Amino acid sequence: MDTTDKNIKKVLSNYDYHFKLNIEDSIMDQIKIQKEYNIELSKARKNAKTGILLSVFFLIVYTIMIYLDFFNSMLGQMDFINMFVPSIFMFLLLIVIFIILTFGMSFLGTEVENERLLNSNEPVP
Amino acid sequence: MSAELDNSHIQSILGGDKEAFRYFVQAYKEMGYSIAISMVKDQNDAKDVVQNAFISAYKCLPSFRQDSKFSTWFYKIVVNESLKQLKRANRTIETSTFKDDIKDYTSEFNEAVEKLDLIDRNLKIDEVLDLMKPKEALVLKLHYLHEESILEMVRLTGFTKSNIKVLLHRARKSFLVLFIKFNN
Repeated sequence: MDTTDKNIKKVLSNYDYHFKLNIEDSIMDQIKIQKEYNIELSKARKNAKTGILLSVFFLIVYTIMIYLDFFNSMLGQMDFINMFVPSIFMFLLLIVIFIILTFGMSFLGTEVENERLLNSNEPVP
Repeated sequence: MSAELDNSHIQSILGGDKEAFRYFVQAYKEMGYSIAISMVKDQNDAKDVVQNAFISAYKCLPSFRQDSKFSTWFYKIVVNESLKQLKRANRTIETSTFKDDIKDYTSEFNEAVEKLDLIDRNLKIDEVLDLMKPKEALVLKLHYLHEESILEMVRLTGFTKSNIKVLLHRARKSFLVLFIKFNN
């Protein structure tokens, strides 16, 4: 490095030291509202794994039932099955109510959070 | 700003500690701004570039391969964000280049630097860097201020090795001529 190079370095170094940037908090505010993609990804993977395991389980049960000719053997016992029909319908109804409530709660939660952010000075995601 | 310190903070962030990212903001915001301003030539645009670069860096941190320095990786993001900003803003930047000027300005420049005090020198540097071409200003800062090697600059900017050498030669010339011009 010759004298000219040293002088260029000197003037550039002195120049840069007079920067005063107040952007740290705004950057950190943006970082704090970022989603944790790793956690989201692992959650999605876990759900997919559970789904696959359940599907495999039901497929095995179905295959066994077909193999053992279970459906044909049930034909002679319709009275017994009819007795359980109302409870099966009630169970299905409960599942539908549960899904609607879960969706409704999460939707309401988002709305309440948006309302809170609108009324505060926090950055909106 | 050692590599070990950078890596330990990266591990903390990847482990879910968002506050650990403040270390990188504090350590690299000025260098990032220095690169951005030399390219976009506007203070507000440069701040936006640095902010976007930090957010991109945070999002892409899981894919950061630790075979290069964090600083090099981050400056590459700043350069890309600056180029995007230049394209978005679509402003005409008035610049000067002295590639055909064969006169040697080194002794004149060295005398001028010795004579000036710090405040005057800073004012002149602002004007000089504003008039330099974005790519020339970028390689000048990377070479003299960030002390990046030619190979690091190739990795950082995506320009070829010979392109960097030519840009650096022109940048040095432009810097000397413009500095002398503003001194007179």
